[in-house]
Amino acid sequence: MNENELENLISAWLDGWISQSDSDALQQVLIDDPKARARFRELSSLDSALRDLAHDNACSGSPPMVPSEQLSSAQAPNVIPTSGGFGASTWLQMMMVALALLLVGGVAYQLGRVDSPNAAVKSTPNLKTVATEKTISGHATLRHVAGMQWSAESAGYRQGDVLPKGRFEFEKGVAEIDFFCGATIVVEGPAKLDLESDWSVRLLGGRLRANVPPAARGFVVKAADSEIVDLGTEFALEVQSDHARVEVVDGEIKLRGGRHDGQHLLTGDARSLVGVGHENTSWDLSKVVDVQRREAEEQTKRFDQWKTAMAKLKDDRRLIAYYPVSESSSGRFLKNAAPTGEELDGKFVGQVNRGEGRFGEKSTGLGFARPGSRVRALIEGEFEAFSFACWARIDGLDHKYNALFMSDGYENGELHWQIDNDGRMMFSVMVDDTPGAGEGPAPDSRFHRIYYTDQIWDITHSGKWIHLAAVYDPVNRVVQQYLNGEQISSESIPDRFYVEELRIGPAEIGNWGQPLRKSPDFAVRNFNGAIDEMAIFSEALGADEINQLYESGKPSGY
Amino acid sequence: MVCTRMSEDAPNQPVSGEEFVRLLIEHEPMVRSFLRGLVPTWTDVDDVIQNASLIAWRKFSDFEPGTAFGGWFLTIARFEALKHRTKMARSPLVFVDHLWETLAEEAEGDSPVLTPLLEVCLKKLEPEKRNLILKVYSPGAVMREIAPSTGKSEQALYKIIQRLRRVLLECVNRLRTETIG
Repeated sequence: MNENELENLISAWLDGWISQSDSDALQQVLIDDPKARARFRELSSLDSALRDLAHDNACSGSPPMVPSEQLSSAQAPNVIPTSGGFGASTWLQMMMVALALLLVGGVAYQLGRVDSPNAAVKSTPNLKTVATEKTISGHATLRHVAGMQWSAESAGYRQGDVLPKGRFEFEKGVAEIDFFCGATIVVEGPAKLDLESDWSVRLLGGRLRANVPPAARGFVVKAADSEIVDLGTEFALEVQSDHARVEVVDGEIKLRGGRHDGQHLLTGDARSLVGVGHENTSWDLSKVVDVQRREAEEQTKRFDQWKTAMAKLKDDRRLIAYYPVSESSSGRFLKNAAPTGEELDGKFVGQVNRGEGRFGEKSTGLGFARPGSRVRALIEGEFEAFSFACWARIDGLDHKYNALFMSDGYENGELHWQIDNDGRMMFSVMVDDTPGAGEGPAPDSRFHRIYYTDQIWDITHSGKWIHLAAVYDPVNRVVQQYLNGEQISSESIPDRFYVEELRIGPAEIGNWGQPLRKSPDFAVRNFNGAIDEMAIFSEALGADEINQLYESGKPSGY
Repeated sequence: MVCTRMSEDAPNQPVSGEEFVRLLIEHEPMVRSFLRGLVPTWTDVDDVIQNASLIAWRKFSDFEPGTAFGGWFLTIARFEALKHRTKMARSPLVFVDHLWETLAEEAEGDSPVLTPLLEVCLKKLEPEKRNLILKVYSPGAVMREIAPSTGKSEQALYKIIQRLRRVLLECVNRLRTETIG
């Protein structure tokens, strides 16, 4: 690469319009060539100095100030002193306000993250608690999607995901995004957008409709050189390569920057922010209800496809038991749909709720939100292998162990399938239930082995349906576990943990029952979330078969 | 984010606070320039500086008066930039981690573009060109927007700006050598 080519690429990078292939080429030459890196640093440093100077130039005459609306009057001093310095940006001014407060008040104010202007300063009375609190990074939730096709250069997200700061690009489909400030946007593909904060998004291309309730007033959508500040209710925006246009559907917006700087627009008003206006733009934009309707239609279609697959699976002679919740729409029983018949039906104990399933309202899943909630079944017989599979929606891993499927007594050859508090799947079989035979610290510990996966879940996955499977194969001395049809662990069974005869006996879905215990106390392991389609096979299923279960049962958007 | 208690970790005396703000204002442009080559966009630079400043404030009691604040702050900013990198979505503006790390290491030895020298060089440009580049770099400006008013296509404008940057850099480097020599 010669100097000219290098400089072209660095320029395109600095100006933010480099293509992926050019970026790859630039990256390679920067890795290989120290001189290229020196040039890159020189140009980026100049870029920075130019920005500072231009900022000073643009702002000279008026000392930079934090707009008073961004700070509550109770906290903000009237004048924010900035003792010169170039390019003092808004964050720096806020920093100084915060420091001024610290100094003046002599109070322990907590300096919050200054991502959103409104969070510049906050007092946190209970600092000790905050110190260990869990945090998630993100600004919005992808609430509904329909017909979504992410572009190759964008990471794919699913319905329910928390969206981090950064670029999102999709070719097709429509997405409903709820910002944490309360604003909702419905974006139609093809679209490209930059999530900036809880309060701000930049539309780089595509069309959107923004709905801003009173609590989210001040939400900003940026397009080209303009900022659209929503003062309540709804507006539509389109950004194409040669033009950008905004129209107030209902309520009021304010334009900041660009050719209409300072204008207020009311219901029905429209402005071209860039390019020539198309006066009679027919917006025809999706509303929140449209996204939800389209999504519901897609889910219904997937639901019907799954029902066909389920009807076929019911006849699989390898099934010990099979509990698709949609097969028992009422009553206190969970029907066993496998050929083994009603002897193996499950019985609801305590508060077991039929809630929304993974295909939306028309489908169902079972919830076990109370400590006493459970579905009990008696499954007799001896087996040579186990395969367990189910769909689960984990709302939280509240307990040390959270039960999926558990044998009551956990006696020789019986199993436990659960998820621990750290989000790891656990599958275990009892080898020798004689108290004291075990290797654990307790004097009466029993001899068994737990096969763990790595962490598969954290709180960011809360509320999302996932497919779980565990295959216990004594013949081949291996335990394999799966997440969403993909094998995530495979561990051999050491000789001393080998168990020839497997059993289930009295057992529970979603909790651990210990009716034989001698004390009134019971371990709390109820599953906080929902479970559907628990399937138990008497043989070891192969990876392709587990994948098939996932593929035929996955909801739309997976 | 680990939140720490202000009153325990940061100095309480008003004099330290004022000193901190003074040092921060003095060194911010330098750190900003250092970060520009380490993260993809200006928004990212702002975010990183913001976090780095908060951390610097919390740790300000560790800072030894009389030593170089710039170097101390730079180390914090560099670490924050690499941390910030891991949170970013994929984009053509994002390079692989090890390249960022190399750039960060090498950038610490660089002398930043001196603003006074750049001002001299800007003055040497024809007024039309000087105004154009200042316009492109002014807050919130978008080249696509500016292009029509200059009678040039967007691509042509990119080229002009690229050329002006080269001219300015040559000028700054020449002046620097002259000043030092």
